[in-house]
Amino acid sequence: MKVTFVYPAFKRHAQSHPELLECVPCDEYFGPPSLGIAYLAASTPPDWEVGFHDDRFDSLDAIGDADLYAISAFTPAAERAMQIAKTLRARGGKVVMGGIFPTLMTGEVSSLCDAVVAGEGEGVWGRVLADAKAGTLGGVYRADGPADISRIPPPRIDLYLGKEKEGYRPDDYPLQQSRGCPLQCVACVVPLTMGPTIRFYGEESILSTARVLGSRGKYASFTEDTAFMMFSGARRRFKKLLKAFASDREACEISYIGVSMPMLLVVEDEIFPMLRDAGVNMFYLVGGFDNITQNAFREGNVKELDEARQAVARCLENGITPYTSFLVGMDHDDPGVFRRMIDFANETGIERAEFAIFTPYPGTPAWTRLSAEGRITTREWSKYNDANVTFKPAKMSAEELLSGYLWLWKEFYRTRQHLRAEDKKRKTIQF
Amino acid sequence: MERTELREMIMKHVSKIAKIPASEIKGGDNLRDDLGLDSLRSMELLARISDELDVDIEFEALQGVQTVDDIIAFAEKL
Ligand code: SF4
Repeated sequence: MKVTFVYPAFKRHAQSHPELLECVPCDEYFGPPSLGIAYLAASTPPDWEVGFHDDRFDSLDAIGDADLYAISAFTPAAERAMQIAKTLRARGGKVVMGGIFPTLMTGEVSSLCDAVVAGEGEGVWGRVLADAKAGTLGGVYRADGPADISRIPPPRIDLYLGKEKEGYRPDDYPLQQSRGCPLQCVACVVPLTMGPTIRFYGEESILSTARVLGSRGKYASFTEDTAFMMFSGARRRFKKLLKAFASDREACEISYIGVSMPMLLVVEDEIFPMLRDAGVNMFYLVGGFDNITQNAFREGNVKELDEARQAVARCLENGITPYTSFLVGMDHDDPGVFRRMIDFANETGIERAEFAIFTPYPGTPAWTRLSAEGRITTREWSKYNDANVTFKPAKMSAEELLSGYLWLWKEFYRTRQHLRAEDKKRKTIQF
Repeated sequence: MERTELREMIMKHVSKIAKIPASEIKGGDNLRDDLGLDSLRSMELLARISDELDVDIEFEALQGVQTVDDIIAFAEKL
């Protein structure tokens, strides 16, 4: 029996707005898929052969035969995922869908596939495969509770590495310490899909994955902003990981760590020498989910603006590049927000940034509220990619929001064209 | 840890996070209203204390903790 995992194509900023490729002096980065497929592939019993199809680079005609196609989709990829499901089923294939979108919008996909995995896959994957083998696959598979991820095997990162080719050689691959988050940030899907309690992967599993990456010359990125979280011992464990990275710098290097500005302000001083020893020189400053970045760029908001300055300063003082993500289009944002963000970036010395449009991802509290207010303007899921306006903004028109977002990208990088001269690693950003 | 030692350790952390000298902090001080700690800083405070006591805390631990005395009572139970 063979199961082929499918990662559907989706558009990022540069594909939605090709003009950005002209003005942003950085190389556009196609990252590897998130780890969901790699973990589920690792939990697949040995009597199943595992295949992997990356729809961003490979034609669907080349997917080959399989007894089961497992499509994983987050919202920007949902439309394409549904098209792929239809095509494969029309060819007589069996299709199961899972991931963030099928979990939060099960009703949208259930009629287009044979089965849906809602929530984490590990708890039900054995049953899905057994039913597929027995010819009884069907319905929604939902685990009774969160998976014990401390015991699951390391992710099959080899599936992703095996897809590299000319034009697609990511520098870094995601690595995760944990799943879940107890905070309920309004537009975040992590607590909704992974639960409110932080659970941890086994340390050896994380480090062995890092070593595989290192042996291939790759960096590891801790993309989620829960590394420094104060609950369940997350930060204590992360410090231990940093020590392990520091003790063997040759084995694998960390490219960046996701962190929110409030967390950056409260974290203890002792963390910075540890980061330095582990070779960490960049933070991905996640914006728009916390009270500082939600309020700092409002007209006249001195307190949060000052805290945002302190957060950036704390990075720079400690030799860490603050790669900053700015989110625009929240309800209090007026047309002056764009100028205020650029002024802040210039004044604080931010050299790398990304700009995103607030997106009410289906299933989040933001989606529920805007739906109730009749402000969702499209259900074209491919536009739910932070690069399009999918709702009616409160204090400006949709056109003003879109042009302000594009202006931010252009204006910020207009004065940073010197980045073109940087070496490849330093000038590659996701956009 | 002895009660006085525990109290001293907690005062040290409150003082560091609230940026107020320990001598000016009273047991009845409200974390938010008197010491100006927002919820994240209060969480950070509990985290540092539990770190020092070598135990992990959960998000729910924060519920019901409003004053410095509440923290001391919380830490005594750890
Ligand atoms: S944005 Fe970060 S801190 Fe907030 S809920 Fe999501 S993972 Fe947790």
